[in-house]
Amino acid sequence: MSDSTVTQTEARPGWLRDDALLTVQDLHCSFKTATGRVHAVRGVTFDLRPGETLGLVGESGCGKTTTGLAILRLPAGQAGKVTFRGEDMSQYSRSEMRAARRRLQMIFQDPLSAFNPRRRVIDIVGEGLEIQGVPRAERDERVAAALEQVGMSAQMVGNRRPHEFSGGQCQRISIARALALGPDVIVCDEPVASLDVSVQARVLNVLHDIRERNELSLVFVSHDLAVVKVMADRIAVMYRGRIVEIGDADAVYRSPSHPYTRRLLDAVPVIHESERAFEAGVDDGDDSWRTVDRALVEVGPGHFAALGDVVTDGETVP
Amino acid sequence: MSAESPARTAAGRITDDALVRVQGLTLDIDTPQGTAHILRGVSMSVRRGETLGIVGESGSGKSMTLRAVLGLTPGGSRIGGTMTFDGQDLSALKPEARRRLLGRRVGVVFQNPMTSLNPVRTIERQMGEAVRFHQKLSKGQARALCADLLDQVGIPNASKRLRDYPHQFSGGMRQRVMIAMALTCSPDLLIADEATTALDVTIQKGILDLLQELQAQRHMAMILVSHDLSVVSGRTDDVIVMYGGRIVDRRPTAELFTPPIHPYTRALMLAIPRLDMKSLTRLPALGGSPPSVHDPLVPHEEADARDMLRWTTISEAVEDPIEFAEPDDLAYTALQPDGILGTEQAAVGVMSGQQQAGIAEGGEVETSQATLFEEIAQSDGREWGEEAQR
Repeated sequence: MSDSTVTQTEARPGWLRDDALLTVQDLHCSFKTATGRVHAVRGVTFDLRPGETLGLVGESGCGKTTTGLAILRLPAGQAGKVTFRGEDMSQYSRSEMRAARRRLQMIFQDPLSAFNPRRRVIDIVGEGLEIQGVPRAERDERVAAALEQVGMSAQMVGNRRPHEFSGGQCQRISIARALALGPDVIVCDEPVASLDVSVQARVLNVLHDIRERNELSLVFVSHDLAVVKVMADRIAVMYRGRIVEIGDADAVYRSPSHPYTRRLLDAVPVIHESERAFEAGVDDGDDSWRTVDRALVEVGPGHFAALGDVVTDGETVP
Repeated sequence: MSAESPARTAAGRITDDALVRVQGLTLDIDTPQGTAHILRGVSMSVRRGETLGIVGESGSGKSMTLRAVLGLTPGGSRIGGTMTFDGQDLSALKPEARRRLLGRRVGVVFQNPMTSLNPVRTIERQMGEAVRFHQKLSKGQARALCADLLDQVGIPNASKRLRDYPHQFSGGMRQRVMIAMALTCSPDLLIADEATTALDVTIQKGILDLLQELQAQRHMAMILVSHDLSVVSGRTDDVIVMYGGRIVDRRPTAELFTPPIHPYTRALMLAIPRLDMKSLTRLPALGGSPPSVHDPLVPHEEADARDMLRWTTISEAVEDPIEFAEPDDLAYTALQPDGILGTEQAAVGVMSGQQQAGIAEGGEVETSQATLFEEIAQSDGREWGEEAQR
């Protein structure tokens, strides 16, 4: 293990806060593929406060989805520490983890492929409760309440099947399914990436509603910085399996410090160029950031960017 | 605002030198429930060297308009109106002649390259097909042309990659392959139908930049179709906004948001998340649902009133988070009773704020989103109004 990794894991990084609900420390994920091991996530550290929404941004392949899944301890080949409400989940047994998943829920990009096409909406939304052993009567009540929170009536939609709904409606159903278990955290993986702008706005507003009403914390995974801007109060930008910038959303958008964050901001299609209010950084032509990992350093209050010392890739990977 | 306003006559004008010219296009399909009016009088034109943006929600008829031009409408559809390509009347051509003409001169890039590409054939074989069919090139000539095109669309190692299969390319690269394929016959018109919708923003920007570059270099006409106004703004000369099978707004892109602005265009724009919004902002989403082809029996006047209600409620309810000059009177492009809107004869109607409020009151719609959504859904007699299908 190199010195820099030691500092990352042992000294508490400055961007972690005391009152966090969920803390992810030095997370690594790797997968076996035909051509060898792929290290999808390489030393990611962040936390989430109660009621906070963290936007996890980056392009395909940057490891943002894997990181989101790792919160629920879903991917195999995972190393690092995930602490939820003070408990280290990496030590959890299968049954302890299953119990914890009531509190940690997930919404996927394509709800249709996450639904069993032959089940009725009422069963889809109640599936988690069923697995948790909640009795039928209570289950129906909670399903109805969850559907109501996303603006649907169990009476009207309960007996219908997924194919009868549009993309936006399916996404509401999958939000209801996550809500039914009464979670503290919902990981939303590109929940609006395949929706029309008008439908997208409605789904985003539903997420705002449920977040406020249930004091939820959200991890909002997306490639689109404009969508994240209206959803998140904190943002982490990922590139090649590492966080390259993290901080309060307003600070990161106002003064993006890492060249990659600026690139992402530049790529967002805008109606008025004036939306990009940030000052474009001086392009010194140095794009070593594409291949060289650097340590996060504080660039503003609570705002960190990977502009520090070079980190050599000596981490231990499972 | 008069009908002679340059803003109106310039946009999407039906000019004699147009490469594609569509006038009063209608498309009806008979269903067991009655006749579905898919297109209700669409007029537009594009010239060489120009880019036209077509924007609208799913089901607004934007893709159907293009399909009608390309002769790719579903069986049993009845088409009315006129369509010309480079002066030739398309409806007069036999299907075979039409294919020969358009297959060579129009390139199309669709949203999902995986469904357009054959997974078990190499790129060379798929690209070469069109060239060899339309241009009678030899295998070697076709290969050289394809390699050159892949190179032009930014695929490294082009001649080697010709031997690869679609799955060996990433999503963005696949879309570049599609663009290269669309260019094989040096088309005069390039159509990109939601070509970047499924892509990451960085990849999307690369593809849009590429399309723009190629269009300028080759002096092609281009039609850029998207549900997202921010994708077409800044990249097109003119924009058409479609709703329920009709054009409800058209103007030069540079004047897209200068008043008078159509309430629907405004509602579409307000639904787009912006980089300069505060974090945790609620977007003014359009409630209700766009007209569905599944309710063909709703009388036009009733449907029109409902549409106007849907658009204006948003514009009214929203405390504008963006500093747009707010016109005292909200003008909108009038829909003529027969639904046919040709720019040269388009009347521009002006609706006062009070008139709009009248409509809102008449419909007894409160400004709360949830209420609006429910009310419209109920007044439709539909449960949870069909949201745009995607």
